[in-house]
Amino acid sequence: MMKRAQQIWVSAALLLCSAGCIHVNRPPVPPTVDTTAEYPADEFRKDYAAYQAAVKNGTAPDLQSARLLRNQMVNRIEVDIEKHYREFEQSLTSGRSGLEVGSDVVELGLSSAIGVVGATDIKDLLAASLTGFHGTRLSVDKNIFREKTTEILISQMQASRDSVRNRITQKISGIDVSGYPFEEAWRDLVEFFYAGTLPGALQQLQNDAGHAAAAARQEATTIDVNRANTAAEAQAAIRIRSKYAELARMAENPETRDGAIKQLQDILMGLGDTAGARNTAPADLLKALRTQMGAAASDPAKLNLLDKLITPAPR
Amino acid sequence: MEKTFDGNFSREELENTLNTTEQLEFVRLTKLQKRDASPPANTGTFEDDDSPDSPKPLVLVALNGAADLPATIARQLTQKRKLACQGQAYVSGVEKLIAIFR
Repeated sequence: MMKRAQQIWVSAALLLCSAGCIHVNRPPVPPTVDTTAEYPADEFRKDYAAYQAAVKNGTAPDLQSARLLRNQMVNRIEVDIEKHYREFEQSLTSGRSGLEVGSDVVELGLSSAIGVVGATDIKDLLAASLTGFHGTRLSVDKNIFREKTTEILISQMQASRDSVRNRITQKISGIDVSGYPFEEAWRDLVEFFYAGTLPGALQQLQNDAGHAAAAARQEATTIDVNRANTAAEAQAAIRIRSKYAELARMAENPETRDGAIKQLQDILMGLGDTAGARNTAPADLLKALRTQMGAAASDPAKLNLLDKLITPAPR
Repeated sequence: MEKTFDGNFSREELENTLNTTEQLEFVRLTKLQKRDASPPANTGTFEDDDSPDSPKPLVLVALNGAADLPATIARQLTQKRKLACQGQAYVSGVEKLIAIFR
């Protein structure tokens, strides 16, 4: 039995090795792509010094030369970042899938071994190993990759990088060194680099999820009326409006005008609108009442109070 | 003026709310239609109503389809109500053809 278990382990190890050794991710890298993209630090320092000198001189030809130098430095740094990013993307894809395949092989091997091993203590040991291994795998997925698939992470990195790269390209092609100095481009290049990292992608995914949630909340708040009026409130609204019409007619008639003014002042006073109630002109009092009615449409307490104030008390 | 109303209101709730708005805010509904953006909501278009008199209350009728409209208009006419407007709107979160009478 022990020999059989050993055979399973050896097979698993061989499978794991062979999975890691097969190159299925990309064709061979051409030498022009593999070797020419380096921008050595001393060369960069020389270019940067020449750029600073040209900017300092400040003549039109110097500024033009500084612009060309800036663009050249930016493009060379961009190529280096691009090259390293592509390698990172490849290793992320193949490394993670290799890890997944290897983990599957180990788990399958352990499960099979548990089935064929007879000794209880060895069986328990294998079962404990399987549980531990499974837990480790889940932990890696949860804590390093935040349970995001490689495709989602790469897609996010590409989107973020494209966004920063487009910004840089637009600026270097359209703005001179006074509007977009190399130092600002440098800052954008650093952002370009970090847009192509796992923490950058995870952060952006988190931000996007947050923005989507905020947009949904914003949408919800753009509904003007979230509370429905009841049938009783709709009836009260009709009574209030009828009373308003009655008061407006009374205010037009010299014989009933004073009575209308008194009633309007009482209603406004009852609503706590002391400023409105101080008016003596019927038109001003009616205008103040209209304002209060408008507010009552979305304020059930005010609507109820207004309804009571316009309804004559039973004698 | 335009105002959005929660698309989850029932037919009665929407009717009560539109009537309350008309009576207290001195406006008259001229159009009601569902809003395209999420979450479900209906956009009511109102015109100013300077008359002090109370407008006739609105009555909302949910139709099964456009084919129901002529018969519904005829039924409402017997109760002296005329069609004010019609449109696709959300009722209890479900899109329906609504005819509005007054």
